[in-house]
Amino acid sequence: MSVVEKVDPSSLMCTPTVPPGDDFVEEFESSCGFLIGHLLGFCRSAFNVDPVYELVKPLCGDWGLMGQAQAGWGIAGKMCTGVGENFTALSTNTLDVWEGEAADAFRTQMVTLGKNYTTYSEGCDLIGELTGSLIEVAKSAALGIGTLISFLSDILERLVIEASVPVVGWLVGAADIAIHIRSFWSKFDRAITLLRRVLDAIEKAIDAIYAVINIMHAIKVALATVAGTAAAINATHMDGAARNQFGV
Amino acid sequence: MSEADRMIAQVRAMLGEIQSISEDIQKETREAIKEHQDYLSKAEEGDEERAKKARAGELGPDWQKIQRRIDLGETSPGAIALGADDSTAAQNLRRTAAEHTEAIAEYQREQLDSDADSAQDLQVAYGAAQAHLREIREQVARIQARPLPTLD
Repeated sequence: MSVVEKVDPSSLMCTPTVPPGDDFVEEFESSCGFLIGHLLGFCRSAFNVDPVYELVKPLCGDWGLMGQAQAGWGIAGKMCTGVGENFTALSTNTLDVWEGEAADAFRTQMVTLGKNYTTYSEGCDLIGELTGSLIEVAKSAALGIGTLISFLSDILERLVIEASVPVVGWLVGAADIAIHIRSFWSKFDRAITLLRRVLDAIEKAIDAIYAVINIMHAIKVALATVAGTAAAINATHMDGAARNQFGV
Repeated sequence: MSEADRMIAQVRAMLGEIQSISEDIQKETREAIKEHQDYLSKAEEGDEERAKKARAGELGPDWQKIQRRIDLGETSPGAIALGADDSTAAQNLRRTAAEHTEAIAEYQREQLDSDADSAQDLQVAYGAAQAHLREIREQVARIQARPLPTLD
């Protein structure tokens, strides 16, 4: 009988990657710039606001890096699962060769360690899922904000056309101008609402990540206690443990 | 259920909330599309009115020339506004629009200060956008100020 790893966790370790061309933000930024770029000067003069700066830029972080982080947490989760399985396996494959109080204590601790690593794994998976969900929220928002930017562009185009009439008093009685201005701010507000949804998701994700980290800290404290207890038990039963060479 | 399991269940619930935000965004986008279609159908009535005046020369010679080309499918209001049409008449119209920009800003200020019922919709739309813009700026600052959890 020999103790062998059931899983080699190091074999699971690799550099997290994301598929090329998956950076939706680059396309979002360039398409929004294309849609409204020529009207920005007019927009800033008429409304003292820059839709690209206010609505597009806040979403333009490194979402590709977030995708890598998501994959990285997935890998860490698999590695923790492997470590957990190795500890759990020690509780069964020492049964034939090691008996006694120390052996039982050892196996109990190995099962506990296995469970703790399973929880670690679940924590890693959860952070990966949280990251993935944030990316999905940002993608949906980019699509929605891009659509609203194209609507703002439509409205600004119409305002430019209204303002291009070279007739004295062109604005007097121009009820359409009020409709265009109102529509501009209404669409702008809708885009802000979408941006706010992303920020809400980020705040929730941070809360959730704090909760996961707290779980991991609690396990870390528990692991330290387990290691201390195991050392104490083995020390008091050194003869039995040494005789059996810990089942190795 | 252990404390860790209970906390993981809580985090799973938070994850569900985040996932539902994507659906909310898609729903709000669909509503915006519908709202814009309504706006466009109303605006198109105005477009036709302007085209008639332009053909009749009521909007000046540049607009009359441009409208003739629009009718022939040689240009479009979008091409004029976005600068894609570089004809002299289109350049003149864009220059006029740029000169009138301040008048639009002034018109907006008057509407925002007006007590007239007709100005209320614009006031509500503007007020909501400005208030929400301030709120998200504060939210961004709040998120940025939050320390990240340590993984030691």
